[in-house]
Amino acid sequence: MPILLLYITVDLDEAVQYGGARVPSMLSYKNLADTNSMFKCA
Amino acid sequence: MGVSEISHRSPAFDQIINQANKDLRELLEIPHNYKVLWMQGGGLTQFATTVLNLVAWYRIKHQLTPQDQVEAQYVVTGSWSKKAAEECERLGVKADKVVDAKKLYGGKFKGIPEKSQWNIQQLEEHSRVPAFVYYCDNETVDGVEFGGNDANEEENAFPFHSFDPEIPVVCDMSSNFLSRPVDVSKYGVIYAGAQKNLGPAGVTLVIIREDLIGTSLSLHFISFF
Repeated sequence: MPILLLYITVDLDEAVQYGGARVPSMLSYKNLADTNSMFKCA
Repeated sequence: MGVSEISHRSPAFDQIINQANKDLRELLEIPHNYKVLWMQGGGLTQFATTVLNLVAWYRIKHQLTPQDQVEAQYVVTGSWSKKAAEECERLGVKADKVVDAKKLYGGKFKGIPEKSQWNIQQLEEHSRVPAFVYYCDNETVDGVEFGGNDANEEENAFPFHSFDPEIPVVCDMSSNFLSRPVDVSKYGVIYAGAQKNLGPAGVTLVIIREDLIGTSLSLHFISFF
């Protein structure tokens, strides 16, 4: 029986439901990566 | 006019940052699956930033409950890594000291303890690994620097091979960044305050493996055809 593995990218804010803290926009590696290091508040 | 005086929205700055990224990728042979980020706040801000980002990534990856404790490992060989471990604890993440060189050397940071003195956990099968392992490549205050090549088992090389490859290695290279070749592929995160070797004070460089930025979840679909 074939199994398909699908990988998706999720936002770090998803961590809140797993007991994590919200990462401030200015400290979020993902935010920086998404904006080519041009800081943008979520 | 200097770089710190021009608008970061200007074409001139675009050119500078694009060239800096290109040069860095070439100089360090940064693999394609790594991002180069330019941040603010210096190396000290990264003490918290690495913890916040990697613990969020880790909690999503393992789909933890709020009650689950997250642990990180710290190799404490000087005052900078000691402060980083303290910041980690302050943020509510257990900082397990794999090495506490001050204790091992009778109250002073004097060097990198022999690997036989490192307390690296042997994890049980299927147990969760720590979120990351952290070290500072060059402890300037204490004159303690990692070096060499662990593949050649040189005495003061960081022993990557002693850690589970699933654990991302985080390294503070603020004071020796670009002073020698580095195999970036061994790291999850490398960061450096720019003021020593790279650029204006306050600017901070982060090199991070892409999969540690936006957490990938695997969804399993079973096909009946």
